[in-house]
Amino acid sequence: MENENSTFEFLTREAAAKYFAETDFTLKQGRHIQQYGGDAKLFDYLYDNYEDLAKYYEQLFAVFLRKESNDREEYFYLDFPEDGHGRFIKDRYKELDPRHVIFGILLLNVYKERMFEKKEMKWEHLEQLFDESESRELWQKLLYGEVKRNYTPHEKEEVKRRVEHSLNLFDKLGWIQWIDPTNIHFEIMPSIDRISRLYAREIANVELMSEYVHEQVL
Amino acid sequence: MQDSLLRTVSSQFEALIPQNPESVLILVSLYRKIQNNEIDEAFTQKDFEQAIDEVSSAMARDKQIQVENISKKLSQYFYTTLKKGNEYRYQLTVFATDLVRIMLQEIQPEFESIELIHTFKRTLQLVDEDLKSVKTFEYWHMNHYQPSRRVILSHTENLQRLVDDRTLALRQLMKNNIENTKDLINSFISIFEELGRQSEGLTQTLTFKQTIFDTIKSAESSFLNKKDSWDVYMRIRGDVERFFENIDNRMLSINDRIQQSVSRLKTLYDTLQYKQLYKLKMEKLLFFMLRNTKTDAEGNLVFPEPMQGKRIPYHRSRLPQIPRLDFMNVEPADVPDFIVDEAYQKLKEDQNYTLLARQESISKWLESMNAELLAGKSIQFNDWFKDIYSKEKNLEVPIDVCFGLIQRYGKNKEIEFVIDKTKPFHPKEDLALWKMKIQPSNS
Repeated sequence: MENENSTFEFLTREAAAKYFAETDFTLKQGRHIQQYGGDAKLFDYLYDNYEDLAKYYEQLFAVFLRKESNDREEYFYLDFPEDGHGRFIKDRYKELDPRHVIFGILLLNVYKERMFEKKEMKWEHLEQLFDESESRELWQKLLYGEVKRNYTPHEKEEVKRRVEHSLNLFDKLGWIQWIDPTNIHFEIMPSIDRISRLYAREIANVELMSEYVHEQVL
Repeated sequence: MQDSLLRTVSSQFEALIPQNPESVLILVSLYRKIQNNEIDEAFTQKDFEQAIDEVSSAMARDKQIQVENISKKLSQYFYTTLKKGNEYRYQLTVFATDLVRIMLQEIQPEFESIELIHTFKRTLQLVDEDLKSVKTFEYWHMNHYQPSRRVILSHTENLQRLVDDRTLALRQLMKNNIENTKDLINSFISIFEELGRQSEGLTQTLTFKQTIFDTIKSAESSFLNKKDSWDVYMRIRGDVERFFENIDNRMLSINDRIQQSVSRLKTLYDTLQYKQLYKLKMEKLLFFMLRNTKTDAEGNLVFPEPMQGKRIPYHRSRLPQIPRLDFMNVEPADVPDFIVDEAYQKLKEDQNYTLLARQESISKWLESMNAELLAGKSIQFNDWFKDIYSKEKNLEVPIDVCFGLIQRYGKNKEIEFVIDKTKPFHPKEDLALWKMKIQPSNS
């Protein structure tokens, strides 16, 4: 009876017994939940109980449950407030490595470019982006640490391994979905859009940042 | 009258309406060939059979269409047989030609590129001459208005269908699951330019239609003199007015749909424009990061000063996970307690000792007999039997010894068994033994 009158009455419902625990773990692990594959049921649960769950996370964990959409595909995730991490202290959060961010922005660009096409990517596509883009030398510097005419097979394997590492993280976050991990074949998911929300301010002010950095150099 | 008509239609139904797709397709095939001047209007038996073959092939039918059967079915209402020279020929009836034309018109409308105003101007034109007298007005009504009414209705129906079709396609495009966008958007531009023209045409049509009706109304005074003329005038005017109201409703509905679609298309373009701008900014950010991200002394990448690392929830405990096993529905089996029956165990042990002792005795007796035989002596087994029994107090021992002797010496040619075949039974004795002697063969 006490539960029925509590703020979190939704936890006493049958659906909560089935899906709450899994949804909760998944969100806290940083995953972006979309109506796709194994996450579809969790997505439905979040969709049906969004307001209750949002209150739950805000009151008990001091974080926000967000519902966003990219090209009409909705996704859910937990987000920190501007000035902290809520109850996600110590080892309960992760700071995105610059390498991950750069790959993330690259994949987001690809996603936006392929507005009406399939969002599948293979290692060959990524290599093509690195080798044939206008910023080829900048990519080489980032990936190999130096710009050279040619790189050894070992160096290339090492770069592939690093990219794979970033992609594995993105897979955990729900930003991509592996199709064939052994051949680095994956699909970019709508939730890759999250990175543009994380860096919304930087995207909006990129010209100002460029000017600032330029002035610092001078 | 009505009942009689219905009965006639009912009785003729099977001949009047083609009963299968093959019949319709043969008529369509013949109609189109005549239209394209591929065959004569009075076509031959060969033309007819060729049309059947083509339909059969188009429908990928395994079974051939029976020429005579289908010819009979169509002969009632769809063709007439003509004699031309020495041969008989076919000619499609007006009914068949009209039926096929209407069907094709319904499936492949020809109005898509023609604005409705064109149809109105071409078919519904009303000139002063037409309102000169009630006769000319009736003539206009019968010969211009009535046929054009059918064409106009058909045109509006097709226009409505065209707009619905394009609106649906646009909705699909907005759902963002279509490939080859650029081509598609280009095709949509032309489609919606066409719809825009149709929309303008509709507005002109409304004005044109109103002008016609105003002209009819203004002629009112010309027909006031005679009641008959007045009645005819008012009947025609009422008919035109009702028809125009109907057309008004249809055109307004079509116009609404066109406006909605145009608004959707505009939204799509705005979105594309916004996305393009946003994407441009993201590309700039990527370039900015690539250019300004440096490596620190430990080899880690570091963003330039204005940019900061972003944190996301990422709680992944590295605790060993307990396998998910559900014991809720498992019924544990009853395991009986282990009870040792000592009396039974002692009994079994005693039995085994007795058996062992008997085996030893049997071996001992067999060895004694074997020693006798090796010494060249004979064995009078009936005597030995009694001797063994008296000492062992167990009848099984002498029997087993006897069995052992037979096993050991049964096939030995140096030993022979001699049995006295005199019946040994004696009324006073409980046990009777055949007299058996075992001796070396040469004794």
